[in-house]
Amino acid sequence: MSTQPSVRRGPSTLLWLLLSGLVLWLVVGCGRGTLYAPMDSGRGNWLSTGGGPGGVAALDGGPQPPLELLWSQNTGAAPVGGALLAGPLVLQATQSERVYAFDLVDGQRVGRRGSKAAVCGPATIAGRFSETLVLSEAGRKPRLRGYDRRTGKVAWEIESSACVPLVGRSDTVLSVTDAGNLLALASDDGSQLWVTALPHHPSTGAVFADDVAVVGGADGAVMALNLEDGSVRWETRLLDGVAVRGQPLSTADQVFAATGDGQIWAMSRDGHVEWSAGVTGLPAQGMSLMGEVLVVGTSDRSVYGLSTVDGRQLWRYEAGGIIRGAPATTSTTVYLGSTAGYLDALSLETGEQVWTYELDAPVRSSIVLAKDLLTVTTQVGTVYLFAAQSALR
Amino acid sequence: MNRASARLGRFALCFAIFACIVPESGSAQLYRFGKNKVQFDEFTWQRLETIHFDVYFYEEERELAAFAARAAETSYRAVERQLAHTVQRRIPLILYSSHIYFEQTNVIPGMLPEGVAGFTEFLKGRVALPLSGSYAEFDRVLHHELVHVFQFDKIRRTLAERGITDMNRGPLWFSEGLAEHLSGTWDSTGDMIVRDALFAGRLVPISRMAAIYGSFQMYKEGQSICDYMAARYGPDIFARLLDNWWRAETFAEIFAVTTGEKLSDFDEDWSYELRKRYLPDIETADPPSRMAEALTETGYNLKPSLVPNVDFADSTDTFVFFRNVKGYTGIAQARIDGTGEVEIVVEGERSADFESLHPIEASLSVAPNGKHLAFVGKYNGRDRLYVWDMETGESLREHAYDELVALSSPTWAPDGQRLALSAARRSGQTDLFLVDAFSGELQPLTDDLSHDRDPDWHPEGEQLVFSSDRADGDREGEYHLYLYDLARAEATRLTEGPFVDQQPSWSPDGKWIAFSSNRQRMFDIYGLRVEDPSSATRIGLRRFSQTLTGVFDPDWTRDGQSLLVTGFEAARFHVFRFDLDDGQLDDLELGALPEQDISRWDLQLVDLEDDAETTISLREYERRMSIDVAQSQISQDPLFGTSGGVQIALSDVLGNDQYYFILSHIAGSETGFFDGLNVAFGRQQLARQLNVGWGLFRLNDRFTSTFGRFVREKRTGGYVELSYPFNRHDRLTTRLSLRHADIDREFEGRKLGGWLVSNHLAYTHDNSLWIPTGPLEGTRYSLGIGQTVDFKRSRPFNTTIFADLRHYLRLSQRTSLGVRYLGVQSRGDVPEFYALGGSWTLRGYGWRSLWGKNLILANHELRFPLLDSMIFTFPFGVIDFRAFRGALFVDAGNAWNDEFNWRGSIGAGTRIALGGFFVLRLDASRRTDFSSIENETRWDFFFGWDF
Repeated sequence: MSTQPSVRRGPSTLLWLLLSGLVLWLVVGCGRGTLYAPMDSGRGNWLSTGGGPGGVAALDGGPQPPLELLWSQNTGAAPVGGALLAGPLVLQATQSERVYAFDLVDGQRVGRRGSKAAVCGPATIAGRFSETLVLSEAGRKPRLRGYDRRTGKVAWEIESSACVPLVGRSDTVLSVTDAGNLLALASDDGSQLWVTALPHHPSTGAVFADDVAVVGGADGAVMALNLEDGSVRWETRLLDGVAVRGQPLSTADQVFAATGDGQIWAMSRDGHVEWSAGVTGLPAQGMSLMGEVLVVGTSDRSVYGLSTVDGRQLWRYEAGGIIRGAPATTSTTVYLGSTAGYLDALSLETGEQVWTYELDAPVRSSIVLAKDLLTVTTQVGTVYLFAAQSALR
Repeated sequence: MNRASARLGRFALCFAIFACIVPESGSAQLYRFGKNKVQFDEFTWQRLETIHFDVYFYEEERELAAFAARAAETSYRAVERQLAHTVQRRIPLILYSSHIYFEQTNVIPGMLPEGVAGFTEFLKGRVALPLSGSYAEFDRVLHHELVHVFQFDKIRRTLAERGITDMNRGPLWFSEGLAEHLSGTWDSTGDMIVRDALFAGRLVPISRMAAIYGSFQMYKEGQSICDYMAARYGPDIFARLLDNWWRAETFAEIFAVTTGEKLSDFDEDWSYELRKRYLPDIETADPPSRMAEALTETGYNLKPSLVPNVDFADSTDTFVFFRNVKGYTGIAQARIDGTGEVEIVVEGERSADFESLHPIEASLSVAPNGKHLAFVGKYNGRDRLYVWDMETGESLREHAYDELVALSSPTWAPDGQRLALSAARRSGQTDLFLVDAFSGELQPLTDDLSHDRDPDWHPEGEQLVFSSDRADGDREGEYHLYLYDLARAEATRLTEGPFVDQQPSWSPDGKWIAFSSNRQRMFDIYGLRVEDPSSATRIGLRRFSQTLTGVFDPDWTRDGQSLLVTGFEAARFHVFRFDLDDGQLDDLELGALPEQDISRWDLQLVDLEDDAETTISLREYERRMSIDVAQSQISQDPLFGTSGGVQIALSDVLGNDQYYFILSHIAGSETGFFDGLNVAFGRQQLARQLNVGWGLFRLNDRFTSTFGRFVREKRTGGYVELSYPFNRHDRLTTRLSLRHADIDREFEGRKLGGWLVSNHLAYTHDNSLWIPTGPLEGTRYSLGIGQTVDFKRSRPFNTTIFADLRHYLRLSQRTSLGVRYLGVQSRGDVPEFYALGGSWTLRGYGWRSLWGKNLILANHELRFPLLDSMIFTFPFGVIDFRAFRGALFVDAGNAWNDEFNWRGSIGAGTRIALGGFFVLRLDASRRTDFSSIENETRWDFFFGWDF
């Protein structure tokens, strides 16, 4: 008696295991040990905002320099945001109204999808299995469209105009619209979960911060809205008459934002300003953070390492060009691209350059990390995928 | 910068392709009017490579190049930071050590007025600018132009990356306002312009900015708007606007998607903010007309200088001043009590002698004898110092110096023999000099890189006071007053602080120095009391005036109780007599002189041969040709089939060497492929005063000259053209062409052929003054002769003579009578035929409907204003048509072969300037034989300027 059930359970368990494995294989891809499982915590997560100019790219561990170029592919058009790593694919939206998909392993182009209008702002990946690519498209009838990244077909679409970075996670996509609303959509079918008219006209996209979404305002306000229903939990005016610039950044304890006058602000999770620190030039479209080091690039060709504790400048590195996209950080290294056309790796601790790679054109989009991988896209549309040499060995 | 000029350049270049490369038919080559850009000076150019720039300079301006190399890199980094954008190409930066040299540039073909401090040209992204004497000002203008470079590079790239080919540069007020905003802080001049506009009810809102398009007020309002944008939205607002440039077609829409606000709402808020800021000032300050007596009423009047009256029986003194009422600046004389008529002393800008009197930079001075007027005038690419006899109205002396390019502010010494003046050397360095007024002997007083200007003599003649930026510690454009003791040859600093102290004038008793300064924001008149000029140990300062707008150029009256000043009010400069109040000249407490240990600002000149920091490398100038214009066209005609072609214009970076190339094909049904091929190549060399052009051609088309009949001709040959401009107004042109021609004169059924030599000579004069619809005043004429010979058969084809005289008689400020008398005659076996009829020649007759080998035309046209502005407000925006004018005309003439009879027409018409080069002309006329007038009204509609 006792064995029969086990015998009956045997095929079921095996089937379950096989199916789980198949799903995992489908989700994470295969080969060379460079695959990854996308996380959906939404905080400090390369995936949740990967691809946006304000993409938060921090990966504890992550590839360590020197990196080796795995492949590079040219899309022929300037990127909109950085590349998106989604399962076995590297996806890149471009300003030529096309989205390209490359095989993560060998860089072969496996797809090209023309969007119906200009891609307005950086795209995002959402869905439990990262199955939905969400694009904001401009034009006479601006739309948010969710594409099935495996088939390239439109899964859903809604009317909305939004050019700031989108942000997605397993169940939700957040979009800050030109009209000044924060829109929460179900990632699987695009249905509206809630919409809130922001109390201040927004200047940034939203970021997930556990149970709130944080948005920067054109009048210097930072707003936190409950993800549950979109109600405003708190708002803090950092400055009068200076817009929040670039994507805010959130940790378990703090929220960081930059303003257009070159001030970096740290707030507690309830919106109280803890410190502010000045940098020279206009802050880039996103910051990055690892441990107690907040990394900020600016139009002054500088990258600053600031203490998250008190805003003290830990180091400053002068790049050959201005920094427009967000840098990326690992536990020991900062990666950044600049308009000088180099990918630089700096020591997180000292800010000293430890490695550099000459690219084919300036970089204005964000660096994206995934496990031992790093992607960067140059302004002529070349997508580079690097891997840590240690991982290759 | 002058965008209009840049646009003019592009259009002119396109036009030049057709005008220059396609040789006119035989001797029918006529003429083109227009003023000349004369290359009086030849330069040996060099190129300095820095990290981001190719700096082009000539040997005399090595110091300027050494300064510009570092200043350009510094500004580059600043603008890159401000706009978050990197310009990936190398930026050509072309330097001139003087505005006079700058005016000779071929980078753009248009004429450069003296008000243009630099420009950015958009075809090749070149920046050209002169040194005006002040390195601080040069630095600011350079920064201004680099903002344009970054701004338009960012827009171009943003649009191009989105696949948008229509380059929308945005409104001019925004691009200039942004450049002003990022290149300097809001200063007294901006305050003066905007405050005056506000109080005079002339502040133009953003929605109607076209009404002041290209004006200085537009620049300053634009700067004010950008200042307000930065204060309201943060300093990164401009980077964000430019990032969003692709998202909409109009600036208002781009503004809305970037800020979430309507531009119209912002416009109202900006205007309200200005009122809030400035209106309270009226409690403590007055416009010049409320605090002084206006001595002039019309036009622009500035730089008054008292005429010392030696005849003390006449108690009314007079003064001389620059005056521009009808578009030409001259020197006038008027009485200081405001009575009597204004008399013209010198008529300027109408001839080569006084091509420019530099009314902004220069000043006037009359000798103690009250007879000798000293002033500066531009003559053939160099300034001259004139000593003018005011009694005879003739020039007594004219002094020009090889080593000095630009002169300004001559001032008579009390001895009536010497003059002090400020002058720019060939390097651009501006120093003080003494000149013997009659021998012309020159003696330098200062010799350094600081900008020394506005000298004035102490009544005893032992000291000079002048204004200089030599203690401008932070390169902010500060000027202070200095006392120069001629015996000791030393300068003592009299004033200090972050101000512009300028235009000093010593009182008749030598106790006070009146000067203009922005010490309390607006330019006002201050009095400086110097205890003992010979030792200059103690000074005192008192404010004499408090204006809402600004007063300048003080000069004392003979009794020392009043000042003649230039005041700015209602967008005009006028001369005022400002009577000092009781007590204003009372003694005041004197204090110590400012610190004499002057810290001159470090120009940080780079080592041109080797400077590691800026990665300098010096190169010889190489004529690298690059494309100015490349365009193609293809057309389909049911009768003539397909035709098409390509045109390319190339030039070097200085624009001195220009190549034109045309390849086209007319696939007429009767021609084979090669038969219908048109190829032409031309080159123009403009670096020297003698302009040389030559070219080769193989053409098959229908040709006509300016007034000629169409002739079908296949021609193969070449031409050489020489043009020698004597000055801005006069030139001699000759052209020689050799061609093999197959001519089909369809209109007379003759076919001719052979090797033809054509030569042509013309003398052309043009000093006309233009308004948007055409000439308003002045004279234009061209006289010439041409001949065509079949040299193989020694058969003279034709000889053509022509004369075209046009005169524009100014009847009032905006009304003139224009006349044109044109005569052409062609003789010989194969005469040219000329056509008349249509809007540009004989109105009321069909387009080219009259023709013959003889032509006479007389046009008389009364031109007058109808409406200054015609504004249409549409839902999508406001269109403001400017210069809506009317005309009454009588035309007479004919083109004939054997028997002449007059044909004529009378009529009326309107012209509307649509901006740029487009003038819409509509004429209604009736024909007349001068004994009766037809009843039928005929209409001529045309786009083009008045003759």
